[in-house]
Amino acid sequence: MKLLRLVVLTTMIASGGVAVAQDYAFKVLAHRGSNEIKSGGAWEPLKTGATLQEGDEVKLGANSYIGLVHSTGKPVEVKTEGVHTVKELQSKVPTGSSVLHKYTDFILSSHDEGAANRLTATGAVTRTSSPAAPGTIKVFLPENTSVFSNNVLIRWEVKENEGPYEVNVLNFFEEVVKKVETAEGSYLLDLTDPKFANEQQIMVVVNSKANNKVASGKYYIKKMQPAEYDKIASLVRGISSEAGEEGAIGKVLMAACFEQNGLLADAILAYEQAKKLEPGAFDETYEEFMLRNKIK
Amino acid sequence: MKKFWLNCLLATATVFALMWALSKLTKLEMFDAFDPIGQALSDFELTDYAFSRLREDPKVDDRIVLVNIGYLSRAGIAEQIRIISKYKPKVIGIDSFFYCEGGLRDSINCPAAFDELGNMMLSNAIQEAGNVVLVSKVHQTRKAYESGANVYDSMAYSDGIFQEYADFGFANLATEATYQEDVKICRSFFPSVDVNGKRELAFSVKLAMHFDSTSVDKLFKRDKEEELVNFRGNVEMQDVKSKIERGKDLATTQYPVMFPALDVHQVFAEDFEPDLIRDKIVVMGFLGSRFGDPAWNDKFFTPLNRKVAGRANPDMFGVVVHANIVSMILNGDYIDELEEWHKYLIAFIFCYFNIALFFYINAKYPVWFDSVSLVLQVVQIVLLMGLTIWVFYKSAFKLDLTITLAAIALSGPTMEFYDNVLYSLVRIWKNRRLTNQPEEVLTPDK
Repeated sequence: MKLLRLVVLTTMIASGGVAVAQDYAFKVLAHRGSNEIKSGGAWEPLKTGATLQEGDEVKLGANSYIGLVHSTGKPVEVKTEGVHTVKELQSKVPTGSSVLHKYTDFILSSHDEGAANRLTATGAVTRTSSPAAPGTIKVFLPENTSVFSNNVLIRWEVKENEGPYEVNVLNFFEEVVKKVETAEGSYLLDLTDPKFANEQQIMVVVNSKANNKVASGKYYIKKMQPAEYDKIASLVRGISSEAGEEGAIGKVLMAACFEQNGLLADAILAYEQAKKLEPGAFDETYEEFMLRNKIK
Repeated sequence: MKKFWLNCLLATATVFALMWALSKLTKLEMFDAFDPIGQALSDFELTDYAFSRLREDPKVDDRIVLVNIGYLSRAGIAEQIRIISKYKPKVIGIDSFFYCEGGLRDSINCPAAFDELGNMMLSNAIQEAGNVVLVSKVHQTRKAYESGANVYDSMAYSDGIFQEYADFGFANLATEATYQEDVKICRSFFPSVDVNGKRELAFSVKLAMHFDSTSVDKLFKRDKEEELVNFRGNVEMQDVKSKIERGKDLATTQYPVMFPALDVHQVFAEDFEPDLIRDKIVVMGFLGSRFGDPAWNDKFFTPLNRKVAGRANPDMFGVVVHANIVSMILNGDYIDELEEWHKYLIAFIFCYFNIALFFYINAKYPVWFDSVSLVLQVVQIVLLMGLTIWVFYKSAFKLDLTITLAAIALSGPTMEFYDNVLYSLVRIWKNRRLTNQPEEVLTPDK
């Protein structure tokens, strides 16, 4: 009886262990760059914490990285651009060479071999499109904001002999996604532009076309997550039904609602729309809003 | 025979006197200009080899999630806290100070103090999260500093607006750095420090306490003022745009990703699975402007660095050092080490018997003495170095045999010096004493 109990117990423990081990093949610990996962049908963006099962594939973008943990708890790095199957990644899991083996490797290997190329590093910096004098152009936007609307009004302080201006829209990796030239002091950015379809967060930098050293700082604009979007959308619907969507008062009420929810770029747009509808009527309110939120 | 053992004892004492004299000379820094090797190796410890290359591969600890705050403003960090706390972590640690250093509260030295909206947002986010641990700093006032004693009598906290709803733990780590931007080598930490009679706990200890208070009991039972950190691994990624360099292994440490980590934009885009955060320890801190940024701000040299001595790049951000300490506390896998007197006793025993052996070889086989003693010294040193690494790997015990190795290295030449010079001088002195004595006039008996 004791033997039977032992056999049953051992089988249960063993099956439990296998179940845990089969729960996932890998889990994503960290990643950078544009990486995707194919779990069944289509390729989808990779998320940190996502699990990879047998048969799944991951696609690594250029200059990207994925840090994975195997179900055994051992880490695996993926650095090579292209598609990698889980089976292929499993073969990269460290098998745990013995310390004696490592010690022998260490003793026998030379870590101080003279490098073949001794001219890899330079004594110079690379100056990219980052503004050399940030803050020279004052943009009337918060430095970091989420947006509800499809448009963002980018307005800046116009000075003599600075124009025309260039509005640069950059992605997270600071690559220019869109560049617009304008002689005006504002630009209405359309977030539904297909160029921004894959960008969850963008940066805006305004500079003088004649002298790109005269530039603004970076202003981060983030698209809202669906859950939060729905919440704000229901508030906006409520205000529209009460005060009307097209009137100036409706726009000002909308701006107040946006401000309360920290959506300052949307509030600016609503105030500007109200200003157009009723010139001069809400200038003071708008000015107070700008000062209150340290935008001006 | 008794004289033989006495000579061994005196020669051993000479070895220790020589080591003492050398240590005093190096402390005076008299010959530093002509001692580049000594300077390069001054930070070297043999167990670093075990940490960086030779130990068993550690396992990932996914109970601790790191979040990069980059160069975000206080409002940006507030937004990160708000997003993270939605996913119900057990505790959120923020490895950043929100104060004006040096009390300089003007718009040039501390513009953040005037960002009322940002400060309000951060304060609210901390309050609403309800499980935030902020960093504090143990300080010495000028009086304590000038006394030269290892006494801390002051604390620095973030501004008052952030204090009410947060817990605090000091972020100071044990290094030889004299200021924040100095070269920082971290091997250990102080679990607690007495500040004006009040016991202050380290940031990592506070985080572990919030997660699993029983794990901290084991730490306190050890009752050690300073604990060695059993480094598990790092969080480092490379940003390699050049195609030629992309295939190269450019990591500064052997275990580059040992904790789950989220970059600045990944938090805002909520680009992670909820389970990654739920019931975990989230530590927010600086990991560069983005993953792959080779910034040196708040970066330490640790035993995981692939270059164990000499000039190298720092390898680990401060927030990852804290994560390693938390992991060690939760796992209870501490590193034990020898007491100081143990080190001297072992060195004495080895030195004494080496000298006895050398005296014997010198007496019996004088022709072979030089070559045999050299071989014996080298073999012993290599074996003891191997033993140090093996013991560290087997039982996480730091067998610091530096004094023993130095004593063995000095025992051969010192024994010769003792035998040929000191002992001969004593003999000459004794003979002179005898020959200088007035001659006895022997008068013949009449």
